[in-house]
Amino acid sequence: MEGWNDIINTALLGTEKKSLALQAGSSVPQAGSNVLHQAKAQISAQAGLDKEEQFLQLAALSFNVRQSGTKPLHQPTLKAAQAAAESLPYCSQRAAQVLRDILEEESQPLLTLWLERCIAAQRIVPPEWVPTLLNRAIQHKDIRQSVATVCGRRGEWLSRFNPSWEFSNPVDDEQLWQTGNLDQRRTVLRQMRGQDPAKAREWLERSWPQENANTRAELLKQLDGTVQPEDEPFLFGALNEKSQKVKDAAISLLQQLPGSRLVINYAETAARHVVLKKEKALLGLSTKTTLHIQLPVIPAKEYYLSGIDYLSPNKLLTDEEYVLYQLIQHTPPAFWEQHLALSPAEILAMLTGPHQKYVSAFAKAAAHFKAVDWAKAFVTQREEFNAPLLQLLPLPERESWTIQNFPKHREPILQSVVQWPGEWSFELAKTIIKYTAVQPYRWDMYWYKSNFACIPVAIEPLLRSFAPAEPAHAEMWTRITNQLSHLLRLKEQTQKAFNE
Amino acid sequence: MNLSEEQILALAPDDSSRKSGKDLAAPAKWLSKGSNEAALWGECQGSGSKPYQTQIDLGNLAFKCSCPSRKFPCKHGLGLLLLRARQPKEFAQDTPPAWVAEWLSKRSEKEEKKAEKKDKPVDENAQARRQQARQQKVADGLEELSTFIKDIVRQGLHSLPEKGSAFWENMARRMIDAQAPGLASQLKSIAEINFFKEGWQTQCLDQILKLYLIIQGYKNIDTLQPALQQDIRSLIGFPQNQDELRSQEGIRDEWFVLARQTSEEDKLIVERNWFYGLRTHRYALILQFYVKSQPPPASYTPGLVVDATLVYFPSAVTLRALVKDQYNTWKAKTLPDGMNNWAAVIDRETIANARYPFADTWPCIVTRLTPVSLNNEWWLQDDQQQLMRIRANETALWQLLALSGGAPLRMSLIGKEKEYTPLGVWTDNEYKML
Repeated sequence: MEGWNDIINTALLGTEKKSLALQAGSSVPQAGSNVLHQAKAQISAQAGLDKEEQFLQLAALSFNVRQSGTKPLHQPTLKAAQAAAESLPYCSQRAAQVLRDILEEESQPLLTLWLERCIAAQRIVPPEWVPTLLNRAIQHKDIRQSVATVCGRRGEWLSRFNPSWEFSNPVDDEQLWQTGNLDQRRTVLRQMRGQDPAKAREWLERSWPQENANTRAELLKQLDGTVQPEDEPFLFGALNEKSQKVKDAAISLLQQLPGSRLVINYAETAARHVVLKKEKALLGLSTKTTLHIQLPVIPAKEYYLSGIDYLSPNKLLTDEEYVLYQLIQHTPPAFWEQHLALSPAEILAMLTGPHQKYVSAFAKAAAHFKAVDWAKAFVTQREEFNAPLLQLLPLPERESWTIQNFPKHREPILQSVVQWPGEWSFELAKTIIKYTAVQPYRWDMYWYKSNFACIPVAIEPLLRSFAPAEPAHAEMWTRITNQLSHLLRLKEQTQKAFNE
Repeated sequence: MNLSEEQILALAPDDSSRKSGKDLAAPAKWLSKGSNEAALWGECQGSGSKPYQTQIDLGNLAFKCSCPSRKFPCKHGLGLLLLRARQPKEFAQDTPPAWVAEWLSKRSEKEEKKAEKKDKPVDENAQARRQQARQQKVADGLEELSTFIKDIVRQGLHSLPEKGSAFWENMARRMIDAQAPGLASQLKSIAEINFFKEGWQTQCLDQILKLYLIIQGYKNIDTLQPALQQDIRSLIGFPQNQDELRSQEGIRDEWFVLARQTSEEDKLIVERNWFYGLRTHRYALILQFYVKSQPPPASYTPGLVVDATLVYFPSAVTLRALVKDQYNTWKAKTLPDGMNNWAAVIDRETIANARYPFADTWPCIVTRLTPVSLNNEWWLQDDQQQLMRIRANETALWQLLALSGGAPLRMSLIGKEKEYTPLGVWTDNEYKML
């Protein structure tokens, strides 16, 4: 656009300093260029026109020539890359409508639920929803995987053009494991551990020599909760590491394996000190079996006994008692049933008097090794609230215990129930919300929103009946009820949307 | 008229009405409800003792409700419309109850009265004097603007960025005093140019040259064709007598609503509705101005077809129009035709620009355009591999890309020369706004 550039340059400097010269070969069309040259001659010939007027006339004419002779950019070889065809059908219009409402609400639990339902129904979102969902997933890492799934091929295609949507581009796991940053490697290792535990171990073993101590410890931690007997040799090897961090991580994993040499050693050492003895009772007329704890405990200070501290941090336990306490804590409870030939309830019943201090060690062991029988024995015999043990109970038992004991342990129960996976039963929800409704400033909308995944739709009609007596509180509760009802209706619609 | 849920929700004045409207779209919320071809009505139990009577004129999409809400339409109106969109079977074909029939007949009476309203006797002498005074003021104002422009040209545009917006706004106020509000708003639009972004020079000079053309046009107005005379007058800001326009015959067509763009100017909402005539193949721009808290005079939802008679404002290239009569509205079933490639767009634009060089943008529908990336910019490519740059915000751009997936789309656009803003696209015969 040389012709036009001449005009712009003259305009920038001002006619005082520069006068306009139209150059030949300007990019305005030939016809236009001729017109401009003729016009320039005519304009210059007019008497009485000052320089500014001359410039404005010619510039105005050029402006018209320019805007009447546009040429698009011609790129004969440029071709758009097309997105692959989808293999799954789109969700219904109804479901998309619910999605719109949920996105307006900014409710993360609802969005998560919607995405889960959509994936379960093997549907994907229509293309117009893809950018919104991908944007949402930038901030919420936890939904990235599901968003990438429901966005289908169009999402994969689109994210190629936007680096912040990279997560939705399927990258080869192995490649990510080899080239990703620590955060990505942790994630991909954990995922692989869920899909193919042996392969995940193989990855670790192969890259082990190249990793530094910190990375080794971090990667080991990703195996937490998924340890298998096959891992033992590898983990055992890690005990020879120089770094205490790595050793600690390996020990903590070995302690999760009921059959590991480490745990068996703990159990056998503990067994030597916890025994049953028959004693005469009622002036020698009958005998009674009691539990005896023989101290001092002197553990072999061999390498596989590491993981046990020798100094008690608790003034109620001596150093020796503390060693035994830790051994019990790391011994599978089932071992005691065999060793003492008693049921969990019978063993628990014997932990009285001076042995009382070991009860919590047994409880920890029960939670650690997920011993459901022991959990049942604990909750029936003991009054105290123990969240990890309660979690081990089958849902109906867990709920009925919670409802029954709610008046005694309100606060700890409230903290615990919100972490249960899945929805509460109608009865449990009734018990909980009836209580939280009384203090709507403490358990405010934020609390209900954060724990929304737990609240069942069926409770909605009852919400108003929980209104507290105090007027100020009642007003706040009405506000909460309105919002909560709205969210619950959306939840219901979400549940129905994929059933059609 | 059957509106889609999206279109109904677009009518809501704010988010809370939208939300409440959705909650009211449940059969249980309504004590009674009914509909016929002309109207939709229902009674909703609110917090008052009597149920609220909600009624909707379906022909012209007008709402009335006995609730005390100042919002327009209120949540009851939205809820009732949504309910019918979701569950049309819930509405039996009925004769309207008295309260609905009364409102409908009042509405049609009003329309008739409006039509019958006769002009009051005018004091022609006083009018002529007023006209003359105004013309003098405008002529003086134009003289002042002409000097202002020449000064800029003499000293050079290079110093403009540091002058700030006040420089232009002061002159805009002088033009208001000179009763030339059209020129004032063009000066204000120069003040809004980003003087620190590449390309401001052309943008700014274009605007200055347009002002210069208007000044020259007004000085030589008698030599121009009548339509262009009218253009010059309205660009300066002489009002157009809309009643007079309304009395003209107009063009009846099925108008496809392409887009609704709103902006705020001096506490006033300016709404630009782009129409395309399915039979006449003409574009039209319907402007509406209203105060923020008040309902728009009429509501045109993109994706709908309005059966209406439009009267174009006289112009060398007619585009702006007003709705004289509106008969019915429905969801678009057919695809509007469009131009095949950029060459056709440019041809049409060249003719239009030659007749009317003042336009900022022109509307168009192009049948096959594909978004492509070149040098970190997005372009629209036609079947002849010709490209024009996309000018759109991030949201609209990603939406366009998602809908296209690299495949060509039929789309409506506004733009000029080498930059175009996509307004909406057709996928699977459905019009989607960007």
